[in-house]
Amino acid sequence: MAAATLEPRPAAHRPGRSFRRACAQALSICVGGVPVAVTLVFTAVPVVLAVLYTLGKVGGLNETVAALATHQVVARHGISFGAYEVFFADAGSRADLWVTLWVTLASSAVLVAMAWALALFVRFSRGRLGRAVSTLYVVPMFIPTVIASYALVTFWQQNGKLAGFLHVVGINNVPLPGFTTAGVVLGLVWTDIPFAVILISSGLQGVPDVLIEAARDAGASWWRIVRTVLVPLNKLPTLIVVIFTATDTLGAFTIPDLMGPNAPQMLGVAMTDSYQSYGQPQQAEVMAMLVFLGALLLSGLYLWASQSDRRRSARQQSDRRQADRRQADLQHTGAVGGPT
Amino acid sequence: VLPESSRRRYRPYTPERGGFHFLPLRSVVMQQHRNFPYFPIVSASGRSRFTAVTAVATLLAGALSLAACGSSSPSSSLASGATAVGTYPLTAKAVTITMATDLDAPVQGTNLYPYQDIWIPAFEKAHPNIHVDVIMDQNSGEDSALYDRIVAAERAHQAPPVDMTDASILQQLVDSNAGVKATTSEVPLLSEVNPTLLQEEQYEAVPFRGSSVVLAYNSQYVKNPPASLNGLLAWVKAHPGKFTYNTPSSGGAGEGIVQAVLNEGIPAADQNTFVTSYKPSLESYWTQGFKTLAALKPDIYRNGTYPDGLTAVFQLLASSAIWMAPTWSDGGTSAIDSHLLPSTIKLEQVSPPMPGGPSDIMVLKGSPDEQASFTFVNYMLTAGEQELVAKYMKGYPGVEPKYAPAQVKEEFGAIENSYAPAWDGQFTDDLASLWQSKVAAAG
Repeated sequence: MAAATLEPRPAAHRPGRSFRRACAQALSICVGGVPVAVTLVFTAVPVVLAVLYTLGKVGGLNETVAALATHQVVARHGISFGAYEVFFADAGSRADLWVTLWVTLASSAVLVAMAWALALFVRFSRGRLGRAVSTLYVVPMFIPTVIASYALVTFWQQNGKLAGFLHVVGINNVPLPGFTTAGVVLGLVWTDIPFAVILISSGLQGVPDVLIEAARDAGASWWRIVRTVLVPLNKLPTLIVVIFTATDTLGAFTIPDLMGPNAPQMLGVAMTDSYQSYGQPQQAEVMAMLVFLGALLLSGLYLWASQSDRRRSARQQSDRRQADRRQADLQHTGAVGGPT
Repeated sequence: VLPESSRRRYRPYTPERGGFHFLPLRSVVMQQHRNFPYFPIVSASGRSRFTAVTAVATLLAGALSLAACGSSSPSSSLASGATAVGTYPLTAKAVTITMATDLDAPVQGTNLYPYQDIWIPAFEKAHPNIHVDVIMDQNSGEDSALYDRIVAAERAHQAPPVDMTDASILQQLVDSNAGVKATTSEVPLLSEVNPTLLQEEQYEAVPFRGSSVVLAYNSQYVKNPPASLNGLLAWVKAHPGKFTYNTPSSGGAGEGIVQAVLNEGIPAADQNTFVTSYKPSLESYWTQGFKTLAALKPDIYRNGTYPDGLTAVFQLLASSAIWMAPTWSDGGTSAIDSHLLPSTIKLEQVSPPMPGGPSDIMVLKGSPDEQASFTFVNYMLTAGEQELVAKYMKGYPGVEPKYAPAQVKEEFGAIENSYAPAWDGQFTDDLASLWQSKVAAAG
């Protein structure tokens, strides 16, 4: 028993150390609490206020925004969906919502197609061109969106450089994408290309050459390899690209504002106008809620995708471990020819 | 970015709109965007933050202006007339007063900020014991935050966050009686200001400069500019694709021409109601005007492309893509002076005229330095400052033309004399909103 007394007492019983540990714990809570508090104060509270305001609650902290507003729906008792009804009753607002969804879908589809094409090119090309492309596709990342939008729209607007070039080669009166919704889609794709290609091509680099060569040996065409080997193994990065860029596109402002038509406007532009120019913050916040709802659905999709991917890889890992164990057992019993 | 007025009834003319305060990241993007291509880097205190870029820019601009002419310093033109006027004695203790403004861009073609680099240095020279700090509101989100803080301070019976403001929330501040009523005992030069303008503000804000929406045309192509509004509409139909105006939500010039057209459909008896109050039911008179504007759409530049902001309009004017467009008198004059617009661009007013109006300064109730603040307001009406207003901002004088310095009268001549009164801010908000659905979205 004498030996036991020599053993150091458990740390928790020492007052000095436990105090220090408590301090460390408090500190870590403080450090961790800072971002949580910032999120609560600057994001959660305004969001709650905005939700209440769209439901017709104009008291409390919403008092000043309501004092400056016109055409707002006020709920005297309970809540009111009047502001949402106003939004959906207006043909212009419905057109804005529709064009936002349309642009989000179209730009995601075009982006994924282009990013896959570029990523495949970079994956399979061995020459100087491949290296050049892999450098060039990141360029849009280093050009501020504002400058890029101005540059693009002045390039392809009706009397811009592109029109001048086409005129010289004898092509006139072709529809150009300046100040059209199609131009907005192109602009969004242009700015999102680096992010999308980086993600997808790093996924493609992760696919071992062995798999591709095995498929090739089995007589699979290049297209079949892409379809049955590369695409299934890169579902998650592709989904992440779609989710992240679509979330961004739903609330996009700079590109649709600078490159889009006067009407219909994407919701990001329409809500800024409602808020700042029409004196209708409630309608702006209704639009923000719709964008928020869309982003919420997409983030749910993201969580589901990453969860299911994690489950799958965990299952694969355990399968592999089981297989290894079986292999080892078999080797041990000598059933399979081990090293002789 | 042009030295345009932040006038109470109009959205301040800026090439693009400001920030959107739900999404902090976006407002950062837009603040850059808004100041494009100048990128003045301004901290919250309103002072230029000293960065390598601004340092180089300052040095270059300084060197250039020195090389160009020795006497371009704004205070030098005032050196002769700099005497203390106002009620705050020169012997009184030194105070610092604060001004919130939404003039957040340097004067066209320079890197001088109107308050910090032009008007206040002249004032502080004459009143060394009053120091004026400036807070620049970069966008209307900041303006409404300022309004929140002023209202909150008033309810808590505390001093307001700033002593004076000329920001776009002035109308709401007058409506909620947040300003101190000015009289000639606080502001002796008030006697030179048009009393109608003062009555409109219930004497709570003092106009110190003005501007109006005028027609800019390229005299190279347009030999006989239309003199009337109907003449203008006929000209547009006769010259398809050679006219456009900025969207009313992106600035007051587009808003001005829309107001002028809508005003044609309003019975004379009701016209003044649009200036003095807000009655949404009267907006039914706008139907005809919006029909006229929608019918004009096929003859607008590129079958109905309305640029976002006046800068984009200037680019079209400068490249001769269009030959005529409405502009602010001050923005247009400075653009011509700084060669952003070619010298063939001329300005003229049509009849009945497009709207215009003054920019005012309000001294807020509860300001601990009310006397010093009124001394500043008074100083803005002196001949020296009015000359600077005309020289740098191309603004009409705040005092009645007969009191304005001779060269100021000469500079503006014809266009200054007539403009329609600007409509109430809530009417113009509705105008912008309805224009979007009835004209922009029209087939």
